[in-house]
This record gives sequence, structure tokens and C-alpha cells, in this order.
Amino acid sequence: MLKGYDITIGLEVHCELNTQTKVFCNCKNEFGGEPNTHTCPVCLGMPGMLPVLNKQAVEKCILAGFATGCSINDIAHMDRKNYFYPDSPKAYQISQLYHPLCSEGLIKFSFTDDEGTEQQSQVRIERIHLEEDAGKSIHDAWGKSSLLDFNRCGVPLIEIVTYPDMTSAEQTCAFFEALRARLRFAGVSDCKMQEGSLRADVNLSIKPVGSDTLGTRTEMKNLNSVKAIYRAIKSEAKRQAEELSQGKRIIQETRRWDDNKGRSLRMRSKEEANDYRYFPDPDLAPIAVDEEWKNELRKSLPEMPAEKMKKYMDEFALPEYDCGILTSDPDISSFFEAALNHTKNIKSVSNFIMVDMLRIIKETEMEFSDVCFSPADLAQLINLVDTGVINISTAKTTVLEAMFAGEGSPDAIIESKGLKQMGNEDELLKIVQEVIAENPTPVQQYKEGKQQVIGFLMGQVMKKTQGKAKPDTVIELFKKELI
Amino acid sequence: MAVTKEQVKYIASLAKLEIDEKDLDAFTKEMEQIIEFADSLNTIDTEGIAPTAHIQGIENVLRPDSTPVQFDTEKLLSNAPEKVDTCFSVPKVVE
Amino acid sequence: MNILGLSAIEIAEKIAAKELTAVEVTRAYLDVISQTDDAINAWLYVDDAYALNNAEKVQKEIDSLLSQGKKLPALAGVPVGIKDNMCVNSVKTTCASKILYNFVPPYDATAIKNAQKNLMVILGKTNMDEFAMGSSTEHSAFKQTKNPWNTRCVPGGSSGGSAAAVAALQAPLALGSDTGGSIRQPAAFCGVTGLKPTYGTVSRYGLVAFASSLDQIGPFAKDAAGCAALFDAIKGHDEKDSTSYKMEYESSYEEIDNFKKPTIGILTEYMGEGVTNDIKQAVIDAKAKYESLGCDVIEISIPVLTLALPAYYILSSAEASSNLSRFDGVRYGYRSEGADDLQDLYIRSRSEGFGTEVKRRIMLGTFTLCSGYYDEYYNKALKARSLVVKGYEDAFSKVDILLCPATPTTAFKIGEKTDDAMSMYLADLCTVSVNIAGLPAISFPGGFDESGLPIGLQLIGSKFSESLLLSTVNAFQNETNYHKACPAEKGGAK
Repeated sequence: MLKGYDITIGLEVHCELNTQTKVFCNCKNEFGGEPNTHTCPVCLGMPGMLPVLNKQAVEKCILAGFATGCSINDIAHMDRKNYFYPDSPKAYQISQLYHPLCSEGLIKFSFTDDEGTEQQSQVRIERIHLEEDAGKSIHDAWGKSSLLDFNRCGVPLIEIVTYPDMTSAEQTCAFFEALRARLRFAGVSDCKMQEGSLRADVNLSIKPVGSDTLGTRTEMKNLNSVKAIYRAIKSEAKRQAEELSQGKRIIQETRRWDDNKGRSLRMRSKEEANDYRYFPDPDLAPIAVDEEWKNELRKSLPEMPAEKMKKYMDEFALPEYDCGILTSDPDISSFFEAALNHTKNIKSVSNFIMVDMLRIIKETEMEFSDVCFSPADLAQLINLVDTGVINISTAKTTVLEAMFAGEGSPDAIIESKGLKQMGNEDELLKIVQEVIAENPTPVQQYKEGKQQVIGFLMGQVMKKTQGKAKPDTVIELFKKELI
Repeated sequence: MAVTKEQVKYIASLAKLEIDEKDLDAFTKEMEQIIEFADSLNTIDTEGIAPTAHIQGIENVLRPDSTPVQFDTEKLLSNAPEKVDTCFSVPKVVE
Repeated sequence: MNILGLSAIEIAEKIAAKELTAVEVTRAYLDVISQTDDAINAWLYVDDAYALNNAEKVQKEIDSLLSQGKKLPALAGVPVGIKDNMCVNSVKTTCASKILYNFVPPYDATAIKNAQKNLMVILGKTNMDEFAMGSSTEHSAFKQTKNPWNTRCVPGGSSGGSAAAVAALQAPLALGSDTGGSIRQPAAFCGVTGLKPTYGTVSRYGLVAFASSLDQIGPFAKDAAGCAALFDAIKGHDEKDSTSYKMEYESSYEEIDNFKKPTIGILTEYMGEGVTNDIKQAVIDAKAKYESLGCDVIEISIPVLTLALPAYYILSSAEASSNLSRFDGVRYGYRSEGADDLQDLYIRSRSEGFGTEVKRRIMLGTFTLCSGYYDEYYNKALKARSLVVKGYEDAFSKVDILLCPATPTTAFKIGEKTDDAMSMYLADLCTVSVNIAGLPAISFPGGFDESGLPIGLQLIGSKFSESLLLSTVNAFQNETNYHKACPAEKGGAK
């Protein structure tokens, strides 16, 4: 919150579509690679070359429209946006200005505001249009020249433009996460921010509390993580407020966010901005989306996270919070759903995923999609716990970690590590008796009514059995022995 | 309409062209002459007439997203005035 | 055998009859080029070894097909000159511009590929106005092509090299491109036949773009039959060009003798001020000829055609300003030495690499697309385009074909118009509206003016009416000898 001011925020989100080939040529659409090995005369803008539009890119743009509640326009055109830049080989970007594919959408979401209150919110989408991504300039160490790699050039990109409906960093980040989840569930992009397949520009202005007139806005570019969006909003709102408090004017300009330094720097003012000279690209025919095509695509749209969440709550009777986590990422929800095909213990699958698996994933800084074992493996592990073959704490630590390390299926890991639970009463009785003999003081305390000492005694048994003792049996034995 | 030297300079900067100061007058005059000729379009009534950006009436020229094709990178770089490994090289980019 | 006295079709027939080989024919034309091109300057790039090597390969294919008793493509073994804005794999393609002075494309234009598939032999690359912008070939960065009928005159443009080469018997056939008349106007100036096909019938893939919505590749030949056969060879759907029509085409060559006695409208808009009397008279003579052949000829007016020239200069320049932005000295072509930074490199490479006319068009196009002027100029031109399209549609509901001059004057003197861009632009008066509407049109010899320079007539048809245009010209050529005249016989360049 900014004292005395209201913040107004709009986003322009760029999202690379996960097609096999680029949007106007048959080059591979893939992150990385040796420089210029995913290029051809078309995406390098060589003389006489012509673009041919990738149908899948159009369809994924339309799916993104459906996923965000947009209307799909009957006719869309490709336009040229003219500007010279080293990573733009034709010196124009093929984009859509006058007739985009999708217009007027809405996303509902909830977020926790800066006072910790849960808020329901919605942000309107102005448009989604299809365009091509640019290449990359690599600046060499001695600063004399720049090297150009066009592998990314021509990768299909959609730009999602929101209305300026957001008023805080918390709300903006929550919206962004909701949008990202929808795009991922729609299957149109991997949305990997660290690889640049999802990027956001933030338009921000402030105005005195209660004022009806919007302030002058700035545009911030180069926001490569949700954290960066959050920090950039906080920082820019503060900067603008400081300028105003010093009696200065806010200048309409583009600023570049430097996440390392935690501040933004001026790139260019509105006056220096290019005149992009948009006009309809004569090389590309209009796109006509009839009802039949729309319906076909609408039918193919996978379930969106909000619907899925409702289903989980209704059908599986899981808590809202758990469902929220399970539906935050399509990789998680599909893993969850697949595991349910192999076990009946829904609650346990949910717990294993949202608590234990996500903990390990976070600790090891991996993505859920990097998990190397199958949902069936997780289900097997849960079934082994439920049938008493191993105890739950061994399952959640030793076995699960071994599974993440790719050491094989749960039963193989249990076998090779000798983790099978000791359930044999005669064997366990001996150990229980040993523990009682070795710990006279706690035993005395227990007998005097201090029930919780049983935990300590259990721990001693586990130590002697390397955690393999079946807890229920041990407790029964203690109770019998200590009467 | 009249064309000014400032306009010509601005247009040249957008087009990344340099017009010699000594040619500027002549160029401006010539531009003005051509623009005046183009102005003759303003004599017509275009009320209610839709612009024709595409004369063919073709729609949805789309290709399937099939298996990627690789082009010989060496050939692509063979016309490069300067290159480093498989990159095109240019003087440093000043922003 | 006098190879040079044969038409393209006759050459192909003799090759099919094994009376000639592709190699002999190619060598004959290479000889003419080496003997006469110092005077004409029609060619930018001819590599005898390359052409002969291709001719040998083609002849081998021909021999193999003949030995199997198979039918040859209509122009098998016939050499063809290529305007230097069409990419030929591994052959220098410069667009007669310094900015592409050393560019060697690693790909073929589809039209070239199609010609090769039809067993034609690429002779070399012909001169043109830089990036096809011009009507005289004076805007070539490399040489001035002369009109073979009078070497003090221009050959027309922008495909001046291709037209002059066919007129000077340096090639039986040539390919050109037509954005606002660049095939038809030089064909008229040089006394040859040139077809501008319907937009979208010949792939533009590999044609270095001038104005994408107007550019179209087409054939030059001495006669309509040669044009028909070459058009057949290069046309067809191409999935690499999104503006290429997806359809099956009939063979225009097979229809060449199928004269349909079309109803002809004389287009009065191109018979008025600015058109010389000699040319008007040639149109009137042609009218009489067609009437004698059984055609109804009426006068017809399309008043909106006066909008075509300003609309053309706005649209073509706007598209060109964008199309030519890729020439920036970064990935190919000319790079200025010693630039401090990238912006400097752009400005220097482009300012040094482009000629004056190209810069003028880029400037005009940039201007008309600027915010604030877009609606007033570019969008207005698109609306004028709608009116021109409609105007032609209405005319073609009344007549089958329109007859008019191809040019308002015959070939003008070299240097006569170079200082006056506007007067040069008026040379396109009779041709640009056809491109604006995407229609086919053909320019063919219709006589000579008082100074002995060829006069070009033009027939304009509705979309996809090339066969009708070609057969109608063929009928005229069966009755006249203008297309058979040679500059040498008429006292032109020896």
C-alpha cells in the first residue's frame, strides 16, 4: 500500500506457444540449441522469402482465448509492425493490430492482500493476438560487437493485454499466476519464465486516493519471474510517489527492470518511441474462424483449473486449500489423477503430492515435470503403507527420496534397502523388553501416568530396528508389558 | 499538403536513411510534389467504401504443424558480412 | 540452321524432333549475347559454363525421355533469361542494387524451379531498375540497358533487360516481374510480347519483393504462343506462397489457337490526354483488325481508373518501405565499413547501398504509413483500390476483354526523365490499374511510331482469363507481322 495514492496496473503478457515448428516456417520451435541452427531463409528474412502461417499456432491462440473467457473474432488479420532492431531480421514483426484473434475476456481469481485478507477478484482481458518472437543479441565480453542468434526468431507468441484493473502487487501476482495456470492447463505453452516462454510488461500509474483521473503511466519491461513482477510494482509505485511528492511530473516512458539491483532504469520516453507504421501484411491471407472451427476447438479445451478444483472438492471431498495446490499446475493435477487409477486412498495421494513431493521438489529446485517416477509408483508406495508393509514415515522419507533419485519402484527400493516393517510380535517383544530394561526412569514415569513417555520409548525401539518396527504393534506390546 | 524539411528528416530517421543536407531541399520539394499527386485521392468520396487490403478473397492459408525441417546453417551464414562461429556479428548495439 | 530466326515454340519443336540440341541452342544465344551485349547491356550476369552445363544436363533428360517415347514439356531445351530479382540457387541475385551486390541465395524461386522442371535452360540474369522501381532501367546500379530499336532510347522498365534481350534475339524467352507495368511497358518499348498474369497464379516465393500485393512474375517472348508456353511452365499453386491460388490450371498454350472472338471494349480512359496520336491510331487499327476477325468492339469507360496511379504509388511505396527494411547490412549484402555502432551501420549501409529512386520510394512509403497520415493516404488508397476492382468488375460484365495502349508514349530518350520523378511515374499510366485490381493483361506489338519505335498495345482480362488474352493476341499475330520485326532489320542496333 502506498500512502495517499491508489495504484493502477495493467499487464501485457507474452507467451510462447508450444508448437513443433515456428509460426511462419518449418524450423524447430525449441528453447536453446547452437546459435542459428533452428533458422532458415524465411525466419532470417532473406530476400524473396514468404511466411506461411502455422495452423497449430492459430489454434493455440484461440485456445488461450477460450481459457481466458475471450470471444473469438470471426475475422483476424496479420499486420506488420515496422521497426529496426538487430533481433528482428525483416525489420518488421508480423503481429495483429487491427483485427486480433481474441477479444474481451475475464479471469476470476482470489488473492491475499497485504493485510492478510483473502479477496475475490477479477481482471478483464482486452485482447489476445498472435505474433512472432524475436531473436537474441549476445553482447560479447569486450563490448565491440554483438552476436545475433535467431533460433527464437519466429517462435509463435501470443500477447495477452489486460485492462488496467489491478491495484496492488499482491493482486497482480495472483492474477498472473491464475493466467499462467490457465495457459498451462490449456496446453498452449510450458510457461517457463526462466526460459522466457512467459514474460510480462507492467503498465503502472498512481493517482491521489479517490481521484477519478488516471496518472501518467510507465511501462516496465524485462520481468522474468513472479517475484520480479512483485518487486518491480512495489519499487515503481514508490518511485512515482516520491517523484510526485517532490513536485515532479511522471514522464510517460518505458523502463527496464534490473532484478539484481532491484530498480528500474529509463529506456525511452514516449517522444522517442517508434512510429511502428502498422499495416496489413500483404503476404498473409485473413484468418476466418467460423462457428464450426470455434466449436471444435472449444470442445478440445482441457478442463480449466477452477473447474478442476471444484470437481476435486465435490468428488474427492478434499479441502479447498489442498485442491488449490493440486490444481495450480497441470503436471501436478494430471499426476494426481493418474495416481488415483492405482489406489483408492485419495487423501494419502493428495498428502504425498502436496506435502512430501512438493517439499523435495522445492528443496532440489526442480520442476514437477522433472519427476522421474510414475503416478503408479506413488500409488504403489501408498498401497504398501496401507497394507502395513512399511510404515508411513519410512515411506515419506527414505523411500520417496530414493524414488526421486531414480532408484526404482517402491517395492524394489524397500527390498534392496531392507525396509520391510517388523510386525513379528515375538521379535518385537524381545526388543520392547530390552528397552524397558534399559530405561528404568521413563518406565517409572509412564507407570506414574505420564502417557507421553511412550513416544520416547517408541523412539528407542525404532532406533534398534532402524525404523522398521510396526508402530501399532510396538504400542500394544508396551501397554501389555507395562500394566 | 506541404512537406517540411523537418518531416523529411524525421521520415528518413524512421527509414534509417540519411539525406545529405545539400540534397534536402530538392528531396523535400520532390516529396511534396509526389504527395500533392497522392492528394488527388482526397477528391473522391470514400464514405462507406471498405478498404481492400487483400484482393484475392482467399482466407485461412494455413500449413500443418508437421515435423521440423533443418536448413544448412553454414549456407545461411554464407552471405554474412561478418560472423563469429554460427552467429551473425554486428557492431555493438547501443540502447 | 538459323536458330535465331526461330520462335521459342519452333526451337522446342526442333529439339523434340532431334534436329537441334539444348546445347546447340544455348551456345547460339550465348554467342549473340557476347557479340551484342556491349551495345545493349541487357545482362547483369551470364556464365557460359553454367548455362552450357545446365543445357547438357537438360539434353540428357530430353534424350532419356525421347528414348522412352515420352512427351517432352512444351519448352524442353529452350533457354530463358531471368530478371535479376528472382533467386536462382547459388547464382548471384542482386536486384541491380549495390545493397545486394554480392548476394548468392541458397534457394531457388518457385518460378525458376518450375522452369527447370520443364527442362528449360537458365541463360543468365538480366538487368532491371533497382528493386524493380522504375520505368526505364536507368535506375540499375550497374549498367544502362539500351533499347535495341534505338540505343539512345530506354528499353522501358523495370524488366528492361529481359525485354531488350528478347528483342535483340539474345534469348528466345525471358522472365520478368510486373508490379505496375514492369513487364508490359518494356515489352511495348522493345516490340515484344509480355504477359502480366493474374495476381496469385505464379508463385512469388523467391521473387525479391517490391510491393507484395502487386508483384507478379510473367513471361516475355516474341509472340503470344511463346508467352503461353512459358506461363504454363511457371504457373501453379505453391504452398510456400500464401497468396498463391490453390487450383488446377488449363494449359494456355493448348488453347492458343482457340480464338473465341471475344467482345472487346476500348478503354477510353487510356485514349485521352498524354497518349500520342501514333499510339491512339495503333489502337484504332487493332480495333479494325479485331472487327475483321469477327469481334464486337465497343467503347467503354471506367472513370475510377484515374485513381489508380496515385493509389498505386501510395500502396507500392508503403509496401516497399517495409519490404526493403530487411536490407540492413546485417545478415547479407552490402555493409558499410567503419560504422561505430549498429544504428550507424544501418544508416550508412542503407544510404550507401540504395539508389536515389529506391530511397525516394522508401521515404514516400514510410510517410504514408506514419501515424497521422495512414488514414489520409494508405487507407484511402486501399479504398480507391476497392473502387478500381469494382470498376473493372462492372466493365467485365459488359465485355470480355479491354483494349488500350500499353504505354502513353513509345520509348523515350535515356536521361530524358531521370530528373523528374513525376513524369517517369506517368509512364505507368496505362498499366498500374491492372496490378491494383490483380488482373491479367498482355502487352503486344501493334505497329511503329513515326520514328520507327515499336508501339505496344494492351489487352486486359478478368481474373484467370490468360488463355483468352493469349489466344486473342495470337489471332492478331496470325494476321500481322509487327511481332516478327527485328531491330537489326529496322536499322536498330546491329
